[in-house]
Amino acid sequence: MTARAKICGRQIGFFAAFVLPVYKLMEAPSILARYAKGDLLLPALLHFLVQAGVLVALVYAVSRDETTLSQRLQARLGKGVRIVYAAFALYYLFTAILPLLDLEKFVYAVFYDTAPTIFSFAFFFLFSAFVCSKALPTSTGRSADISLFFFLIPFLALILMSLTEADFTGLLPLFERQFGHTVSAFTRTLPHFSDAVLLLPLLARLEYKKGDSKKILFGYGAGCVFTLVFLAAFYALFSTIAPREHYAFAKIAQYFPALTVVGRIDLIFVYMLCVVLFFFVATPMQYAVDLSTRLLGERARIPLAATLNFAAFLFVLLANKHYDGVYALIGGKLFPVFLLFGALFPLCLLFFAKKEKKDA
Amino acid sequence: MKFSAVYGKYREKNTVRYFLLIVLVLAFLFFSGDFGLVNVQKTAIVMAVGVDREDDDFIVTSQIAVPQASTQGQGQGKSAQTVQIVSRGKTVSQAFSQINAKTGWYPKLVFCHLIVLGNETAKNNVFDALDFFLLDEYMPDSCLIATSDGAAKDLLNVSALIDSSGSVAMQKVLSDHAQRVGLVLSCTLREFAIGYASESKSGYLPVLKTQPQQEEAPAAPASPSSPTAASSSSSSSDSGSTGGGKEENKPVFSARETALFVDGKRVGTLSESETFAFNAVKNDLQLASYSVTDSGKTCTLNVRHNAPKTKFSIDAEGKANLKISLTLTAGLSDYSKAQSPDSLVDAGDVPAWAFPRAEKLLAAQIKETFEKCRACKCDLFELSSFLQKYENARFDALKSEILSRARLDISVRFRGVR
Repeated sequence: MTARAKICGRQIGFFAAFVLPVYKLMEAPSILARYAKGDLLLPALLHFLVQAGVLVALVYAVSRDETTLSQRLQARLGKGVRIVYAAFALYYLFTAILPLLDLEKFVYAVFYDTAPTIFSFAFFFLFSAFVCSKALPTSTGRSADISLFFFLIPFLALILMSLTEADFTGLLPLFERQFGHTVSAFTRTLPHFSDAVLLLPLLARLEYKKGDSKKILFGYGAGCVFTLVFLAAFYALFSTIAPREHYAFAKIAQYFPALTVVGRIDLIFVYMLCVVLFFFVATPMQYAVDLSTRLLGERARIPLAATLNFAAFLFVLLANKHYDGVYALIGGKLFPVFLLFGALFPLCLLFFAKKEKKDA
Repeated sequence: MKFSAVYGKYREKNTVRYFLLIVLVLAFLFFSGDFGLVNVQKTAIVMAVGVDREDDDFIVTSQIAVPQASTQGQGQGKSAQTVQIVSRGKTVSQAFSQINAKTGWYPKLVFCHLIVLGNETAKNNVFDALDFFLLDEYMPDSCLIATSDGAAKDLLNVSALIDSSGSVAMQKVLSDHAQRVGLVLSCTLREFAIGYASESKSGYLPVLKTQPQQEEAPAAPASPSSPTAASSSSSSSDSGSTGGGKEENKPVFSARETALFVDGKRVGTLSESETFAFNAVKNDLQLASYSVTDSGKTCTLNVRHNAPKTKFSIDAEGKANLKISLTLTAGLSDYSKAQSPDSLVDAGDVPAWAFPRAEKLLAAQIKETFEKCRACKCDLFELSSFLQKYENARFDALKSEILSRARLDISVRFRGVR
């Protein structure tokens, strides 16, 4: 591995704290409220416990040797590693579907009052193609660093602006709904909460140093807290009508009294969060391109990035008419895929945690 | 180095630059959106909507702003002209699309800050009409909502004293300030929808009315128990003093009564005093006037602050107990009899009888409000929500009779302040 392609623990921690939560602030709150019948914190908490468990296992596996997890995989599996890369490349393409459709709907609904042209959203695919053409750990690490600024400021501002109208007693009774509702909300939101697997390509390239595990786990913990605080504020604000309130982070601040005088300045913060959302949505596609280049060679990176993003553009144009159907299919029927790749397969990496004998 | 290699490197570098340039241009398109900017030639900026019903038809009255060019100081300080367009349809959406058909303007709801529901609309489930606004992602659900005793269309057609645009004048009457002084129980679309979707299925809306200016109105005998009689006359005389010439004929709006809703249908009305009492229990009051009378003398208190506390419990028989403790901090605002100069030092002394009298009167008004809500089966005091939040295990067993069997315990205390 070249020095240029390194990523450090801090950047993975930042990615977990500031990039991963952003997608959960959009459609997930209304889906959770709908299926959990109001008790949306419990399924979210369950998700975080599961994902934190997987992440702890991954970090443990990474920390057990000086070599990277990726190198260990290659050494142990030989050419068989190509199957793993291909499977995860397909999985990352699969996980990109819902964020892409959500982002498109979100942009048209929140930023435009009238129907925009299709080229307005085409910008995202150029941005994404640019991201995909970059080598993985460095560019993602930089995105994570930038996201510190683009996430924290707008997130805190939007939460503070929402507090004026929030009634937190609306969250009561806590954890007293039927468990069936919680399970239903849990499975429906698996696409939104499969976090550990989104950190896997970064962890697999990490040259572990002492203290990295604390940074990564603390970062993920912070991301969980941000999400839970947001969910609480969202439900405190919308209560029984929360299931019908889409694009949550664009809405929670609009009741701030000063906005009637100064206009929708909250949109500035929404734009800032949208930048982080770009990083998030582009990330699975970047992973897919990166894993594919391991199979096809480095020269294929740029053509792959261009082709994939053009295909994604066409897909969004066609699939946005079947948005509800796609959501029902992925969230309602194909959720086991997220359990397999998001929890089970990453746990299998514990088998690669064993220290290699130096003298062997 | 070969020329082709140098050229190739140069071309690669420039390709990235061109790419980034295209990204930047499209990013501008992407992020600019329309920033709420409107092509006024093509769009109808809807400021307020009135919804009436006639059998199965919805009659939608849209008050549309017509922006005026201001030339050489003309029009400065004047509000934009408005026009009313009335359209009809089997759904509210269908009626709205008629605006486009009639005028060529596309109705834009992003600036709509008021929905008025006519009395016929309120006889049925008002969410037959309101669901359209809740579904519309461009419509702010922070918009105010009110009902009327007549047709919403007639109300929106009124050119009021304080603003030629009826909707602007109505929004002032329904403002946060009006709520803080206890005159109005204003409600937004979001709040009303939350109440409807909650276990209580109850809600309230202010009742908008037109009133003639005080000078022209017949002298109505003010009820001595009316808590806001003093503030009414003062505000009316203020309005009158600004009028002159033709302005004297223009009415003013009032929204001091409150309509009660259960399952989206109007089931009753709170009087002005009951509206004030409920405001004192549920909302923050600031600088509210509250008048009490004794032996022909009236004392108006200036309520600076209120601190309501509500305690909910279920007794052994399964009856709900709602204990409302309300502490109001108030000073003397005015007294109908002249006082000695010494007693007016340091903002004046509240007469000894005023606070006990006010405590008794306000407690009675809160009780009256509760009983009226109970009679209408309107759970305005949110007993069902309390039951669900704090006694969820017994919710299913008790929810059907929670309101009818509930016991209310009220304690009101006035505390003096200079």
